[in-house]
Amino acid sequence: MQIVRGEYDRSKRLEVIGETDAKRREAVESAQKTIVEDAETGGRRNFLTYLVGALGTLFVATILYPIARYSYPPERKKKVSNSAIVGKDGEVPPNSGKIFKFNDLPVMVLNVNGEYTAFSAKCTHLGCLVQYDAKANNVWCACHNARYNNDGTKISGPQPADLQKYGVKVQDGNIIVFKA
Amino acid sequence: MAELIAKLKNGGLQGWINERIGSLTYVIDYASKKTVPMHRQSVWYYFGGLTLFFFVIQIITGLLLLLYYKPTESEAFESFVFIQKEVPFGWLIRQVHSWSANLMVLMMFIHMFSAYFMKAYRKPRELMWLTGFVLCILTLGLSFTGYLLPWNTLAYFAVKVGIQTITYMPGGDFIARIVQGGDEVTGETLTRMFGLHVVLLPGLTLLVLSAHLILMQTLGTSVPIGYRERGLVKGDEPFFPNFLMKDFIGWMIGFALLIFLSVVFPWEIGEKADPLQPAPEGIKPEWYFWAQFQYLKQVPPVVAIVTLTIAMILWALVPFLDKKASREERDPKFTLFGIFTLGFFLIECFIVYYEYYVKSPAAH
Repeated sequence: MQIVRGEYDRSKRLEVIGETDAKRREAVESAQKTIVEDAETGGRRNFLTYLVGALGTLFVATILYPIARYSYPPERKKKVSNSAIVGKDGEVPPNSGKIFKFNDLPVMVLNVNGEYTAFSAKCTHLGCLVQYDAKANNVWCACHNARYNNDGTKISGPQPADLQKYGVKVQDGNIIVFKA
Repeated sequence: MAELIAKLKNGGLQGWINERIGSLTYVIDYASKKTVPMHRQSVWYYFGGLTLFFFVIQIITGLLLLLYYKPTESEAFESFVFIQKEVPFGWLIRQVHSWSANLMVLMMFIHMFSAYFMKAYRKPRELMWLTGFVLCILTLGLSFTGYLLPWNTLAYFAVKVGIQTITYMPGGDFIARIVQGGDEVTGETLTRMFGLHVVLLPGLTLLVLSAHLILMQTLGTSVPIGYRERGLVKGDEPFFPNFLMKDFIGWMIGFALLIFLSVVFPWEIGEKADPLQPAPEGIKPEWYFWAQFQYLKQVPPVVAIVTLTIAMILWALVPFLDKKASREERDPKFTLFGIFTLGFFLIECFIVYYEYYVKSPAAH
């Protein structure tokens, strides 16, 4: 039994099931069948199918292109400097290290008995930030136990390379980091 | 795995799904037999679908805006400008979001009034009307909360004025404090509005919308009173694919209009909101709040709030008040009430338009 919508009353609902309705559905189904058969045998319909498909693809592409461009983050303007004051002398007491931001990158400044060194704080293994291990007097990454010398050269662990080195000096009580 | 692929290759996909989700395929089968009646007023059947289409665009563009927007007092305006000036096609996404919001509200109003005048709310569709009414409130809520997010002067003062009207209601100060997150429109308000706009209101809207659409599938399309008996229905066409294809044409026209408006009539960026700046000249809410805005100027606020509240309750309960329609009989009283409501909206909007754009267009 076919269900006719739009009528609340059940008796009415059954009344309005017309023959025309059934005929209409038959016509739609046979039209769809023709489309499928035509597409299989080729011909004008086939060409139209391709044309509609191509235009449809073009249409979707025109929408997806701006969305893709929009979603990819644009370059933000940032200043790249060769050297910068990152902090005051007292911020890194003897036998300790502190991470400062230099050109938006984390840079470790070490003070071992008054002798300053600076290198990238990003471990070359998987990018964790390293720390100064005062007991062992070297640099240690807590993530996977990578160890570096106090100048950033590799000692042991899974890391593939040394930490990138920077220059550092203390001038007028300021710590200045510069590209080595 | 190989067995599964072999099964699917033999066209057993439906069978495979059937074994797992059972009766759901019967629901799909049932829905695929949905028909849409054809008659002189069939054109109004497109506007619900158009509202839905613009809502989908709102979700997509809204999610895209969330990639860069920062909902804090200090960063909102800057990130809003960044989207439009620095991000590729950012201007387009924002303009489409703003225009689509306006078109969604417009389509929703057309859909609501056409359903009203065709008495589509009558038995058994009372719940469709009620869910539609809730969706109307939610849509206006989404529009209002979204309006503050650019955090420019216009947004700031429009929302300030809007919240001010709440305080005229009984217990309004209490509600206004909750909405504002304090005694004034500040960064606290922005954070609240943002939360409402991107999480709570869209979530509720999706929930109520699902109910609205499921009811639509089960009850089908309403026919104006007496059309079937008088032989005015020329037949019922299958929803899939016939009506859906026509719906699709409607959406494409809507989409073309949306892109045209976004490119040719962009919304302004404005100045960053400054709570210590005097309100700019010609400040007024968006057009869908003009009627209430104008009415508040014409009568004492208490009168306005009371009459509007009563009118809204009557509007929501119309399927239960119009007893004649439930018996498939026409009642001119309710048609008149509809004409009066629509007339009120149109006349009040025209007055605002006349005062702000014709009489003193200098402010724009």
